[in-house]
Amino acid sequence: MVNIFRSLFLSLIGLGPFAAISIFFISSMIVGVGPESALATYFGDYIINSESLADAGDDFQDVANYLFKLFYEMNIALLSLTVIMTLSWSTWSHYLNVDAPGKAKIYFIHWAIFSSIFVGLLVAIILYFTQTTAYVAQQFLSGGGKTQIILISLVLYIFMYYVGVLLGTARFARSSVLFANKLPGGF
Amino acid sequence: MKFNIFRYLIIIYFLTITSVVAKEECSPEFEITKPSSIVQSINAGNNEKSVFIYFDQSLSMQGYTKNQPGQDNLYVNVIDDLQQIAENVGSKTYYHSFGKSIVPIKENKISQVIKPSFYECSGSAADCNNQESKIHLPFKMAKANPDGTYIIVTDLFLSSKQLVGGTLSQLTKPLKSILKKGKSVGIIGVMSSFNGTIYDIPTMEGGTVSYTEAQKRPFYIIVIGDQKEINQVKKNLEEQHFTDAEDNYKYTLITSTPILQNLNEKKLINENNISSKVTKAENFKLDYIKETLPVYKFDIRNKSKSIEFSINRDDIIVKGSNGVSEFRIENTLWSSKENRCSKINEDDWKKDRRVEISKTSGGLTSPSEKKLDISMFSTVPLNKMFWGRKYFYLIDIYAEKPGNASEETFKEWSVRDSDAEEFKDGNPVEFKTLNLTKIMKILNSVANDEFQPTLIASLALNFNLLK
Repeated sequence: MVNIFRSLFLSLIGLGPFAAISIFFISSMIVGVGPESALATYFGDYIINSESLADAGDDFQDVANYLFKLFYEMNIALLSLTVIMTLSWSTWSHYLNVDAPGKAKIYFIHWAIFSSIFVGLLVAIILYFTQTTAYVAQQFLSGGGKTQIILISLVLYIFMYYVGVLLGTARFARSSVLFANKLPGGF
Repeated sequence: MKFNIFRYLIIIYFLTITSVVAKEECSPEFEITKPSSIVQSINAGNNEKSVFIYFDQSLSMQGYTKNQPGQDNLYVNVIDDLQQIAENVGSKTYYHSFGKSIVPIKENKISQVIKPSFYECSGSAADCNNQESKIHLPFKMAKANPDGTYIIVTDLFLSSKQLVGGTLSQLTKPLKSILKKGKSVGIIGVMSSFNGTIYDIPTMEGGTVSYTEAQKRPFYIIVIGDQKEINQVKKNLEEQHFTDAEDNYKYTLITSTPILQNLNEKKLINENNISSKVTKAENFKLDYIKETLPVYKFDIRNKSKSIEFSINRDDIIVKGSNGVSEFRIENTLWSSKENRCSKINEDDWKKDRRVEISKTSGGLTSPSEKKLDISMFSTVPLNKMFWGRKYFYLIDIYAEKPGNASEETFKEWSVRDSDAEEFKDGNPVEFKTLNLTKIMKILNSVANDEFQPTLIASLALNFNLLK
């Protein structure tokens, strides 16, 4: 049990820096960023379909609230999923008990399946927010903007998950997680 | 005290009602385009009207008065009744013949018009009125006294040299003046039997020849006046003489106002004008706001691409006229992120910057074109617009350019100067009219110059675009 708590603690350390970025972004979206801010400028230039909005007589400010809502709700969902999945793996890895030749490979298969489920859920959530009609703001995003949202979200949360599980996986299974056996002994 | 309370209650009641009505309209602030005036001259009652009839006395007309075995002589029958028809139109009828000049016909000589002797002249060619046909003279008379109705009976056989330069302007100038005053020119062409000589057929060498083998040939009754009188003459002739399908006659109306009416003025726009996609949509309702503007209210899914709207030809185009070859759309689209009427403020309405949103099907020139179709949102499709919003779409439809249906109508009875000799050499039984298409083109071009773009309908769509 002590080992499990230790893993969870290490996982949280791994998640921390990335979660901080996500939480900072979510907070900014909830509070709302000013029209002159770098984030607003970036949204205006690269994320929204400014041409369509201008055609309809709108600009970024007119739809900012809808966009902020989409972003913070999506990021809350992604962050929650990442934290839950990371901590789940960190806990579950302690209960994997394989005593057979090539066990590292078997551990890896477990990890790969679990990680694939995580990535699948991650993609599903991102697509739900950016491609379905669940959110009004979805129609204000440009094609390039959607691609950027998908890529940045995937990179951030997959990396967050990886570092989290890398530090949190039980020691006997850690070598199954790529490069984990190369970590300094203290971890 | 009681009186004051009562007064306050009334004021509050009216303020509430006004506010509710404004919210009910649920529209941005806009001005309704006023219908451009459709200048159709309306004269005093028939009792005070004079009708002037002009008979072409040129020698080529004589052939209509002689029967041709096996052929129906419509000329004699029609002209015989023209006096009666003229009296139906006006109170007093004046008869003239025209050739080199206009000569009044005495009442006791009117019946002679359908006799061959009317077209003969025993004097020298210089003294006779049957050597040429100055058709511009009756037009000049019509210009001088536009209150009358003018009926010209002629074979309309005009050579190319009569249709250029000064001779042409003698015809076009009075015509322009007539059309400007809201008058129109109705041309009724009748294919009648013919038994005589057609003179002045141009040859390739530059001279003229005559032709005697024709058994049929069209003559024309040109009516200058108000559309109402022209229609009356046409209707009477149709009822009395052109009842059979085989009766070969053609009709066109040269007018600078081929538009019958503005549809808003009499509230003629209804549910039948718009596609069932709208009338069957959720929360459909048709209301007239600002007295004359029809507003279709509905909710529609953004799966739809466009909305079809159509106007019947007979509702907007004067029958027999050249119609309209081009329509123009002026439109404005507003959207509001807030889609509940009670919550929408004036500032919520944002004007769309796109100008080209809808398209018309083209023109209404040929009588076979029964409807003007407008494909609303064909250029800016509904499925590309932002859903979750309320839209207000205001559209004005203008008749932009008149048509030229009469050229097509009379085309088969026309022969060009350059083809006339070859046509004659083919020994035709049915002879054509020289330069008829050219004459129609000239008349149309004068009418088109006087044409003013006319607003035919204004309407609005007020809809929620659902996801």
